[in-house]
Amino acid sequence: MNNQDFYERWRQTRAAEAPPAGFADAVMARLHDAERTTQLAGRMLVIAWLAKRQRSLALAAAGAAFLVRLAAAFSLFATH
Amino acid sequence: MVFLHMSEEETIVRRVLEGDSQAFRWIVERYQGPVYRLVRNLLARTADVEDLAQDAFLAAYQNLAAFDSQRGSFAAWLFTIARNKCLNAAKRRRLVGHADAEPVDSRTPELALAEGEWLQRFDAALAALPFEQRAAFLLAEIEGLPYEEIARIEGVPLGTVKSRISRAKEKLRGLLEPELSER
Repeated sequence: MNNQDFYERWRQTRAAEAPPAGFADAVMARLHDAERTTQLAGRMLVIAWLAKRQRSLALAAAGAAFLVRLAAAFSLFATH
Repeated sequence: MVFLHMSEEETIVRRVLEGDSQAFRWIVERYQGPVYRLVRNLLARTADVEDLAQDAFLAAYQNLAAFDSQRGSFAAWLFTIARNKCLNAAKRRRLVGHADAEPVDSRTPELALAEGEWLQRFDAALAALPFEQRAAFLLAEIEGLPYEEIARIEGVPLGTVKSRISRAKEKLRGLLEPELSER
């Protein structure tokens, strides 16, 4: 064999190489894992936001109740 | 190397972007050979080749919305991602002091003997080339891509691709001539 033949054999050998069996399955499994992680992170963000919102609502309700009581107290003073 | 028609590419990409992640399997099955080969040859056949080839597909999936068929073929876009992953891995290896070429030979000793030492000599000579020359050479010689497509993947002018491939061939010849002339 001459140099060109050696090169051509190397080229053909390397060009014929294929990934190991199950490569596509492994990619798809990793892809779904990544998607699940993203979805989970998204849900946790929503839960955190709702919890924060709930706390804000509870605070607002408590504040409103306090103001109502305050107003009632003032009105009592005002009438007496 | 089989290229997708533009309309076919766009259909699959649209389906994936609309939430049909299973459609991406079609892309993986279509391009797993070329991407795996590119990564394997660019990284001198090291052990983490499979992970890196998978990483390239995951990165493609995550950035699919950025693919623009007006700017080039899907294959070129995917090869660009795979090539950049390899470049980053090669840089990391240099930083942590790993050898750039630590070949993994999974063949039986009998087969290795049958194939001959020359195959490894070619691989070693290829691994000795600078990354940019190796990438351009592999895309042209192993994947059979036109120089214009390689220029898009490498992000350089056509003339630079031509000179990289020409220099790669020259260096390979220089490295291999003494070996081959002894036979």
